[in-house]
Amino acid sequence: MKQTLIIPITVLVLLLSINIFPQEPGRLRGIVTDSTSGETLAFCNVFINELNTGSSSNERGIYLINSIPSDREYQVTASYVGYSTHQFTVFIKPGQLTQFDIKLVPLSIELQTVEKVGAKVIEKNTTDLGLERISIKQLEILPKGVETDVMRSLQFLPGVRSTGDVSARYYVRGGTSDQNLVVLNGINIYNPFHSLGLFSVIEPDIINSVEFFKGGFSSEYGERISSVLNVLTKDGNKNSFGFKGSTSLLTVKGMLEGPIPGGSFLVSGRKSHSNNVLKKFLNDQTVPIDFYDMSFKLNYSSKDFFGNAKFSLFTFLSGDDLVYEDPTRESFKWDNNIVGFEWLQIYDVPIFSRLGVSLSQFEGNIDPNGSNLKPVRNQISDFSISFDINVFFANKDEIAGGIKIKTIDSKLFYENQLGVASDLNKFAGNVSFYGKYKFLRYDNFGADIGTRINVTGLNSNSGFSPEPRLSFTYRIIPTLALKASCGIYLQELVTVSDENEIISVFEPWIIIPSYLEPTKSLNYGAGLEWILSTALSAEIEAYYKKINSLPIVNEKKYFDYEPDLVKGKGESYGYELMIKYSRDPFNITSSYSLSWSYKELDGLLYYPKYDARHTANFLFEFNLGAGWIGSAVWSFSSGLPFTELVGFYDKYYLVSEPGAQFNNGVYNPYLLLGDRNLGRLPEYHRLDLGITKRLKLFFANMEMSLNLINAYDRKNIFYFERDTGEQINMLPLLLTGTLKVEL
Amino acid sequence: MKKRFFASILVLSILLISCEDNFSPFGSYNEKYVLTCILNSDTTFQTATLSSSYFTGTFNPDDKVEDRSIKFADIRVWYEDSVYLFKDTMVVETDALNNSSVKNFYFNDRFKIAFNKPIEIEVLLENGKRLKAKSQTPKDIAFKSNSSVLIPPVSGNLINIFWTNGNNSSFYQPKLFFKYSKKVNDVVTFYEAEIPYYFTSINGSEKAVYPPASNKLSIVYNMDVIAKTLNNLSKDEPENVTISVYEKLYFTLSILDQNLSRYASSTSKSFNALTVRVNENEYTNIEGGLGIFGSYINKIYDRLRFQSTYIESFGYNYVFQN
Repeated sequence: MKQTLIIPITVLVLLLSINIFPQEPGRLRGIVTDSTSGETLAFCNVFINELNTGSSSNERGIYLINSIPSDREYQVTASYVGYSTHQFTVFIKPGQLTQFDIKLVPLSIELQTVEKVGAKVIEKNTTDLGLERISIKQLEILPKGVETDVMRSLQFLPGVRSTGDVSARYYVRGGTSDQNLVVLNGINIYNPFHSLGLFSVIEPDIINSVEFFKGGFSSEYGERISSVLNVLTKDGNKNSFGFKGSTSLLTVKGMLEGPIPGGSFLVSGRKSHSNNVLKKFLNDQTVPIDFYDMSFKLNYSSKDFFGNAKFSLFTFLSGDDLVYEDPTRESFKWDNNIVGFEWLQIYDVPIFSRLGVSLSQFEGNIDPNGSNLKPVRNQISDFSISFDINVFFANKDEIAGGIKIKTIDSKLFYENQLGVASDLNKFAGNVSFYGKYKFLRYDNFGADIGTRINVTGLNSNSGFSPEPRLSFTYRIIPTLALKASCGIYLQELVTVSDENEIISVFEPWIIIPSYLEPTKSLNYGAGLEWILSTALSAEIEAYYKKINSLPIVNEKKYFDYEPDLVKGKGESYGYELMIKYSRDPFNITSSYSLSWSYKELDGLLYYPKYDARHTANFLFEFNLGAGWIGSAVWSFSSGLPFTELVGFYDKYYLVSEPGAQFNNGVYNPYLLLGDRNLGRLPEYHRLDLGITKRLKLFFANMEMSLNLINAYDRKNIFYFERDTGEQINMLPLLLTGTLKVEL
Repeated sequence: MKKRFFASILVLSILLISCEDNFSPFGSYNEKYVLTCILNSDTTFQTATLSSSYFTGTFNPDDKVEDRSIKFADIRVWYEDSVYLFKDTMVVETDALNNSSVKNFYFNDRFKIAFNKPIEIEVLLENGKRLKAKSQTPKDIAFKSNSSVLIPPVSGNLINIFWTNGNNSSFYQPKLFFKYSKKVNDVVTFYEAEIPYYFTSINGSEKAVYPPASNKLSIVYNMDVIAKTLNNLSKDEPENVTISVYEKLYFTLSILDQNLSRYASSTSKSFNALTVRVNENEYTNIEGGLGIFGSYINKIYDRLRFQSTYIESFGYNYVFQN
C-alpha cells in the first residue's frame, strides 16, 4: 500500500521538477465569465490572432495558452455562442504567466447568433474521440418536448439511443443504462430520473456545462464502463440578485441567485403540478406522479484566503412519490440526496488542484400495501473523498493524477417476479489512483496516456486491477485528423434491472456479489475528423466494445439460495457519422449510426432491447431574427428487437382453491414465444418542431416556447399487449408550451 | 425568411406523413408438444396429458377450436425398478350448466410414489418424436410440534404451524380445513371447509384468498379469519338449519418436488401496473417439448382442535372426535 502511494508521487515530483520552471516563452491564463452574472463560461474559445493558436476554456471556465513567444503584444479574441466576440490586447512577458480574465457580454436577446471563432485551430490536437461538449446555450435550442432535458438531448447524438419516447434512460454504444456514469459537480447520482424514467432529475436552468463521453474516456473517470455524463452547475450571479421562474404543462420552477461577500449563491427548485401531459406518455393511464428537485450552491473565494482558491458547497435533493388514492394499491417512493464540498485551487505556477468530499444517497421503496406486488427496498450510500491535480508544462504537455477513496453501503431487499426474496447488504470500500500524461507539445499530434489502479475493490474479486487507457489525435493535414482510443474499464456496482422491462419504476443498485467478477470491458475506438470548409465539418467514428462478466438478472432464480445475478457477456460495434454545417442564420447537424450489439447468456446469443441497426438524426436550427428562433429535429431508428409470438399451447396451472390438488389444476391457453428478441418492430421516426420568442418586457426577460412533438403524428409502436394484441404507441402529436420569466 | 422556414417545414411534414406499417408480431410457427404429468402419493391413479401447440394467426386462442390432445402415444414411467405403461383414455365431463366436454388423458392405476425416489418418463409419439424428463420425488419433512394446538389459543390471536426443510428446493402448498355438517329437516349433509389465508375486498365484494404454493416453512392463520370462516357457515342459511362442527382440523401440506416447485414458481408471477415487461421466462423440464413432469406428496398434521366453547359461541353444535 505504501509503495503504491510512493511511486506515483515520486514520478509526479520528478516530472514537476523537470518542467515547471519558467522558460523563455510566456503563458496566458484566465477565467472566462459572463459580464452580467459572473458565471464561468465553459468551452469558450480564446484565440491569438497573430499566432493562429489558442485554447478552449475548460469545464470550469479556465483557459491557458502555453508557449507564447514573449516580449510583445498580441491581439486576443474570445468567442462563445450567444455572446459578443471580445477582442483585447495583452503583453506577454518572458517566462511569466500572464493572468487575464475575460468578461463576455451576452448578446441582446433579439440578436443571438451562433458564433465561435477559431474552433478548428484550437482543437487541432485535442484527444477528444467520443467526447461531446454541450453548453446550456446549445441545449436551449433543441425542441423542448415537455421540458428541456439534458438526458433526452443526448439521444440526438450518434451512438446514444433510448427504447422509446417514454424514457429518458439512454444506452450508449451497446452498453446497458447502468453502465452510464452521471456526475453532478463531481458527485455520482445513482438514479437520475423522475417519473418512471420520463425526465432527468437535473434541472436544466442550473446547468453551466455538460461533457459527455461516449467511450474512450481517460483515466480520471472510473466506476462505469460505457459513458460519462459530467454536469457542472452554475455558481450563481456574482454581481446582482436575480430570479427566474418558469412553468410548463408539467412543472413549475424557480431559481434565485445573487452575490454574497466573496462569492455567490444559487437556489433552485422544481415541482410537478399536473399529470395530464404524462398521460400522453403512458398510454392514457392516469398515474399519480409527484416529484420535486432542488439544489443549493454556495461559492466563496478571496485573495486573502488560500490565494487563488474557490470553495463550493453544493446540495441536491430530488424525490418522487407515486401514491394512489386507493390505500390498498401499491405505492412507490424514491429519493436522491447529495451533499458535496469542493476546494478548487489555482496555483501561481500552472497547477490546478481539486479536493472533493461528497455524500450521495439513493433510497427507493416499493410498498405493496394491499396489492399482490412484491416489495423492494433499496438504499445506496456513497461517501467519497477525492483529490486531483493537473500540471501544465511550458511545452504544452500536461500531467494529471489523483486519488479517490470511496465507501459504499448498499442494501437491497426485493422479491423477484417469482416471489423469491433476496436480502443483499454490503459495505465496502474502494481506493483508486489515476495518473495520466497528455502529450500535446506538437501541434499536429496529441496523446493521452494513463491508467487507473484500483488498490482495493468493492467487489471482493476486484483486487489490484489496473485500467490502462490511451487516446491520441494525429492531424494528417490541417483539415483532416485521425483519432483513436483504447482502454480497459471496470464496474463494480450494477442495477438489478430486469432487461425484459421496457418501463420500470426505478432500478435498484447493488455491489456486484462476490460470486461474480466485476464487469470489465475492453473498448476500442477510431475516427476521422474532416474540416471541409469553415462552415462544414464531418466526423466518422468506429468502435468495438467487449464486455466480460456482464451481470444479468437471473430469471431462473426459483429459490432463495440461487444467485440473483448470473454471468453473461456483451459485445457491440458500430460506425457513427456526424456532419455539421453552420452558417448564419442557421445550423444543421445530422448524424447517422450503424451499430450491432449482442448479449450472451448460457451460450445463447441475443440482441438486447435497445439494439437498432440504423439510427439517424437531423437537427435544423434557424435564427429568424427579432428574437425568434425556430428548430426542427427529425429522428429515425430502424426497429428495436422484440420476441415474436409463434402460437399457443394449453398450459397447466396449479390451483390453490379449496378442494384442488395438483393433478386437477386448470389448462389455459398460453402464448408461445419465439427465440428471444429475434423479431423487429417497425421503424421509428418522428419530427419535432419548436419555435421560441425571446423578448424584454419592462424589467423582465421573457422566453415563450411552443413545441410540436411528433408533428406528422407517426404511430411509432412502443410495444403490444401480449394478451390482447393491442398496439401501444409512443407519443402522439402533442403541442406543448413553456413560459420563462427572468427578473 | 420566416415564410420560407415555415413553408419548408410544412413540405417536410407532408412528405413524412406515414402510412400505417404492416406489422405482424407473429413469427414462423413450429409445432411443439406439451407433456404434463404430476405423480402423487394419495392414490395409485396417476395421469398424464399430451397435447400439441397451435397457431391461430390472431391473439385469440379460441379462433381455432379443435382438439389438441395427442392420442396413441407410448408413455412409460420408471419408478423403483419398475416400468409403468400409461393407457390412453377419455372421459366426458359435464359442468354445472350441463355442457359436456371430452377430456383425453393417459393413466396408470398401479403405483403411488413415496419420498425421495427417482422418477423418469419417456413418451414416444406416433410420428416418432420423443419427449423425456427426469425428477426426484420430494424429501420427507417433519412438523415441529407434536402436541395439540387448541383453537382459539390460550394467548394471542395467531395459529402458527412450522415444518422442517425437507429439501431446500421445495415448494409447499398448505391447506387447513375442518369438517362440519348441516341438518335441515332431518337431512344431514357433510361438508369440508377450508380456512383461507385472508379475506380481501374486490370491488366491494369479499373474497377469500387461499395460501399459494411457496417455499416458506411456516404458515400463520389469524383467528379473525377462522372466526369469519365459521361465521360464514350459517350465512344465507335458513333458520331451521343445525350446524355441527367437528373437533379436529386437518392441516395438509403438499410437498412439491424440485421440478414441480420451479414450475409452480414460474406460473405465479405478479407485476405492478406500471412496469411493462415484454418477455417472459418459462420453465419446463421436458426434453424436446414443453410442460412439466413432477410429483408431490401430501402430509397431514392433525393436532389442531377447536375448543367446544368456541364453536358453541357461534351457535353451532360441537362434535367430539377421538
